[in-house]
Amino acid sequence: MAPILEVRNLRTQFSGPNGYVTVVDGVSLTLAQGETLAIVGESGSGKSVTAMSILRVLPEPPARIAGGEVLLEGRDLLKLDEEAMRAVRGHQISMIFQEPMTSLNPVMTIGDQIVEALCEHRDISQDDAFAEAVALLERVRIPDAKRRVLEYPHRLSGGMRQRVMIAMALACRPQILIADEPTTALDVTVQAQILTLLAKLQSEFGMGILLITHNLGVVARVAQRVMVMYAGRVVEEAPVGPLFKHPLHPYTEGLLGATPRMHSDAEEGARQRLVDIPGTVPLPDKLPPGCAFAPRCPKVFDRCLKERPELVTNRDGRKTACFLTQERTA
Amino acid sequence: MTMATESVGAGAARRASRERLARYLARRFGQAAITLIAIVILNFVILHLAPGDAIDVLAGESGGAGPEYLAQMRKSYGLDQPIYVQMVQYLWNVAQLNFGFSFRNNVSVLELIMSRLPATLLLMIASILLSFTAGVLLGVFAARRVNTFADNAVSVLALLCYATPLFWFGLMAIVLFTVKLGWLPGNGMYTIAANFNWFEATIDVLRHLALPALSLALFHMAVYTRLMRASMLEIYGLDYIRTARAKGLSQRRIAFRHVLPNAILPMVTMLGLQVGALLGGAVLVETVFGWPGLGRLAFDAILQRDHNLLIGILLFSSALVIVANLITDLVYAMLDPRIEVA
Ligand SMILES: Nc1ncnc2c1ncn2[C@@H]1O[C@H](COP(=O)(O)OP(=O)(O)O)[C@@H](O)[C@H]1O
Ligand SMILES: [Mg+2]
Repeated sequence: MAPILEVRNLRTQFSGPNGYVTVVDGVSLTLAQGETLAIVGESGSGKSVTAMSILRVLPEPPARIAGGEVLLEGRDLLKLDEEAMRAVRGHQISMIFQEPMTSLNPVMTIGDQIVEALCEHRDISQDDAFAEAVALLERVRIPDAKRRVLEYPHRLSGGMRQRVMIAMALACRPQILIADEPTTALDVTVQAQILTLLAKLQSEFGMGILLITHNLGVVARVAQRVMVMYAGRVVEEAPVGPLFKHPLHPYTEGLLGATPRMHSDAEEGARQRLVDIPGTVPLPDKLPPGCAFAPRCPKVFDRCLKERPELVTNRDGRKTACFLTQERTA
Repeated sequence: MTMATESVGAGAARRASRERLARYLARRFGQAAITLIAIVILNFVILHLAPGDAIDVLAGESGGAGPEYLAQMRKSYGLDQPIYVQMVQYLWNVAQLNFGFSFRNNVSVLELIMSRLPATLLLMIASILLSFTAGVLLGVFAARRVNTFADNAVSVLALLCYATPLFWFGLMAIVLFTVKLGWLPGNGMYTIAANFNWFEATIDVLRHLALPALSLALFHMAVYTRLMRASMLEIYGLDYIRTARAKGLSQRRIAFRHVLPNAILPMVTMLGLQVGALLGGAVLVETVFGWPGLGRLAFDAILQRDHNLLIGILLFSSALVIVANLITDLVYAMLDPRIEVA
């Protein structure tokens, strides 16, 4: 199927004390209708910046999108002016965020916040929009929606607020939903509920989902394809099954290493996993000259320290950026 | 729009929140009353710490009076009673709005204060409105153009207003607008002996009000401008503003519907504090502009050692500040739904 979203060679930078620092470096991805693409990677690997660059909601300055294309049905979003871009946000592409507790305006009722999204993009009366807001809240399984719609966010739990965020994001039936760690801040049972809800809504609305997470358990449940990011670059991309069965990149291997041990608390599991790969993600302005993962890689050899591996497609159609696997499978 | 679909459940929720509001009000009024009583007692104590009493003052002024006459006077004023009896008497008097008599002006203190209160209230309300509105507008203006020339210009202007002494600005305003340009009157509250209808009279008072209100507003306008700008910029960095942008809202709508209503909350807190400071400023402004208000009255009372009057004004001013803070708290509770008035 032809992708609705295609990102090519996205480069995003932040201005720092010593000039611009490249935080997202040459990221490419595609997303088809009804498909879920997961982006995984440790904290600080550039997942959120990638997502926010697609929607162009990064504060500019200090951020700047230095290159690449973001093609939505063939139209490059990076070339749109602000007005045209506004018509895309919340309409064709919506986004929900990690922190449901702080992502809603505290002095506006949740109803007004949903109505606002509806009225921005659709020719709809206030009354109709309000009725629609109630319907949306019911759709995201918020009990007693008629009453809840009049309440302020602080009266709702984290899980309920994330449902409100989802209702708001889906208000205008977007083709794409970007979910940036939508369950990380929630406790485990609520996480599962939200994921189930997202999957259900996806089958009803048919939108493509770009799901950012550092929880591989989540990936296995809902995604069809996975993109692994490290230090602002894509290091591996594959369908979920093959990736879990046979990871090619040592970093992916490292990430997967801890997942089987993930039991009751997924959050705990996520934290556990970071410890399993010794060391931390290098800061974007302190990248080593060769492969960014080389200092932590158990299989490192001298070429990795001098040269940076490109993302290459091998014979099976799988993509990695690692000399080892490229040489092995070439 | 919400009425059409409001359910019975929502009605019950509203009722419950109204009851909570009533309880909250009762508690805040109770606190205000206790504060006021404390101030009255404090006043009483201060009054009695000073050596001598009203009779000494009277005697000193009328020149020579026999000790028997003084004792009789004390008895007739109740000053021979034990101190706690006097205090209860004093509290009782204040409760009846009896602040005593101003011998200097030959009228009761209450009457005197009431005759001056409207002028001061007018001046204060005008400067509060002026400084708050201008501060909000300038703050929003600057925050939306952060780090541009316009933003810097607003900052410099605010700094100037902040640093200019009130009396100096007042005098310069008189020199410029009254003496040189002749645009606005620089003394008093209305034109004396003019035969105006109500409309002309209103305009006349407003013209007299302009310079003193501006002088009094200047400092707080600067405070509000800086506070509003900082508050706006802080809110701009919060998660829910990113949400608003991700919804596709315009910059304008984000600024006025999402940032401003949140950024204005700390300003409301500031309002309550401003009232106390304004009373201090009013003494200066009313003196410079010959504005017939409480500040001017207090100034005269000090010069004339009119203790009853001074104490009365202090009590009244305290009450004013307490009421203002009460109103501020209520406004805040109305603006911020997170304040669950339990
Ligand atoms: N506003 C910002 N200013 C400067 N650097 C930033 C900013 N936001 C993110 N970064 C940098 O970009 C990198 C990637 O961040 P992010 O995309 O948030 O990672 P994650 O994969 O955890 O979502 C981090 O190293 C972070 O320091
Ligand atoms: Mg992130």
